[in-house]
Amino acid sequence: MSDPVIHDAVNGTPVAAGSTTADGVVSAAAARGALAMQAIDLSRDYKLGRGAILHAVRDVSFGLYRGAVVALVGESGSGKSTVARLLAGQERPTAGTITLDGNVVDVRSTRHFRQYKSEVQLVFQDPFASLNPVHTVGYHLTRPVRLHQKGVKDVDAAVTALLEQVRLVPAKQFVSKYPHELSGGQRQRVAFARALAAQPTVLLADEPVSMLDVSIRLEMLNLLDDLRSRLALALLYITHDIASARYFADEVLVMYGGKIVERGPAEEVTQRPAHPYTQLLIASAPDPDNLGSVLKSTSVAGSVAARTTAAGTGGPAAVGCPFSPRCPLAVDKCRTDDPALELLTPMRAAACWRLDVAASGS
Amino acid sequence: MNPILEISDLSVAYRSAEGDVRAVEQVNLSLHPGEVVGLCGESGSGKSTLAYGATRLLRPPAVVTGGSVRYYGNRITQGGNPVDILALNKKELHALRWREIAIVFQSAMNALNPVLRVQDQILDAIQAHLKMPRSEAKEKAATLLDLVGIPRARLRSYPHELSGGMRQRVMIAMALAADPEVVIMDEPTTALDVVVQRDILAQIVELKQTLGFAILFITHDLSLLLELADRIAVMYAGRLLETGTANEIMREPAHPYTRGLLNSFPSLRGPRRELVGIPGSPPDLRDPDPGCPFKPRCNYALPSCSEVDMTLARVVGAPGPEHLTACPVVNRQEVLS
Repeated sequence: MSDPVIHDAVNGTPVAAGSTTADGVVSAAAARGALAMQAIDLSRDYKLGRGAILHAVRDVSFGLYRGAVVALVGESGSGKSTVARLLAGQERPTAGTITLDGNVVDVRSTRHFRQYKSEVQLVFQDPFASLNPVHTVGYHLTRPVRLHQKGVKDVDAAVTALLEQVRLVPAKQFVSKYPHELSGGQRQRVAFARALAAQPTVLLADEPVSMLDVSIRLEMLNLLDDLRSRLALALLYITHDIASARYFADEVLVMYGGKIVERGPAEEVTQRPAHPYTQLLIASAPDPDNLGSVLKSTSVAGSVAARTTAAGTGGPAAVGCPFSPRCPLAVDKCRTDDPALELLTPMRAAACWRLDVAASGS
Repeated sequence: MNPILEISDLSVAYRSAEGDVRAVEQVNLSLHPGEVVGLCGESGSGKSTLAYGATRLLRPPAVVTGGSVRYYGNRITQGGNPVDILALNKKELHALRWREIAIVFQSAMNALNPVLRVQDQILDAIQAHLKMPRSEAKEKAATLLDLVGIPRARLRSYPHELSGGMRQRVMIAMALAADPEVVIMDEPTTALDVVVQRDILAQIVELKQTLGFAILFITHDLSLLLELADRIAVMYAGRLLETGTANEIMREPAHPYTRGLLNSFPSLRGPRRELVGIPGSPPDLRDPDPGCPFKPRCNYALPSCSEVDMTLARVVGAPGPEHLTACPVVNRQEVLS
């Protein structure tokens, strides 16, 4: 199934053709711009010893489009950061293909890897850990400018421009500062500026605001959104916070146990979740509008969360549907056969044997 | 009704060569039996320092510089006068901790000893604070695990063999070992996934209803408190800016900071609404400007805000007596006067 998609991309066929990913879903992000990067049936296994294998990522397919945000949502251990590392070229997939601007990615040589890094940049969760405490902000930005913006004569001016882009102004004040002199939000801005120094087309943001205070988060997301539209970045926004994905992303991909279990336009997935896991995720998220919450009432019966707890809270299953051990709707088939993504509408899909029941229950 | 714990005018400073960092400034907060009070604030706002200051858990360079913390629990006061926790000696403190006031710390990964089995750690806590034979203590440890929904077989497990949610449950079980009157929870679910978080919160609420302890719940996540807490105190730069019932904070937020927070988080349900956020960042506590610490980020700020004394006053027109705010500007009557 993957071959024709690569072929299309290589031939530079119009966006409409590239908007269909390997699993047959038309991405809600495709309307924003051209296909920049594509993951096709991506898998990554880890050997655990004694012959045991962890399937961290299984047959994941999606596209990233210029000027659009795709959110990858899931709990810790669901494989979302592994997807980011695969796309960033930091790890090689066990199976599957990544294409960038229509070309199959091969980063085996240093030269190729450097070239790739100038197109694809990664921003990490923890700005305390991702910046070197003994170097100034200026140093953090000068190096990537020298490496990736070869033609630039005035490096200082380029650094100033980067700082202004992430709204660390007046830039002169920040150049000579060390990470410990900055607040968490300012540090994360430096991390963004460093990623932008490479002038990438694709930005992979792995939980970019999770470590920041609530009052700072929104500003950072707005900044990211602004950069996305001004620089036409193809953005992958990895998060466990599905509410922020609703506001910020064009398309939402929900991961569980290494698989994409549901995907579609952000508003539809969050307002009418089809997969039981997505439903559980949304039912569990704290919601300020939910004052008469289950937490205050004495009975929690009837909520998806409660039913799932009763059904057990084990990790993802190795056989069958990964969510089956926790799923309130699981039947025998779910424990033996792993469901594939099934189209609900041209832009939405979910992987569940019991979609008919699950959809009516939501 | 008498409170069970009453913090009055508590101030805590971190001493440093460049002068004091005034992490907590004249905070008043009370906790009633069976009540869940949520203490909400950003990192560095002083919320943990307040809780640790009130329970004498701070170490130098942190110093309590003023105020009192009264504890009204019957087992200690015997119906007499409340005790001032800040004046207790070492032995009295030992009797208070765990038996009367227990704490669930933020990171269960760090709070549990990685080289001891769960059973031994729970037994340690039980035997340090309750006098009972070892066989009885073992049975007690098993009952505690039952209470938080962990199979008894897990007593033999080491912490690394448990999931993050289970470890946090073990911490809660240990805190409940001596049937305390007050449980202080410092971000007990922050490192956990939302699904596990909800499970644990539901469990905490259930335990509270069965055992009747009061909870001081510390978190940066106001949206969580709106669901969980009876009353909420909003802290910023070492000060309380607003207190009220969850309903009052949600429906009628009085302080501009609280309003900003409520507009900051994206909601999952209901129509999409415009998010505003709070520009800027919290002040440097080493060199605070006079008056309201939120002034530089506040849309309602007036020149007079530099002279605000930051005492909490009843919100004008509020139906409840406990909706208080430190902002005189938004509290309309004072604007007129």
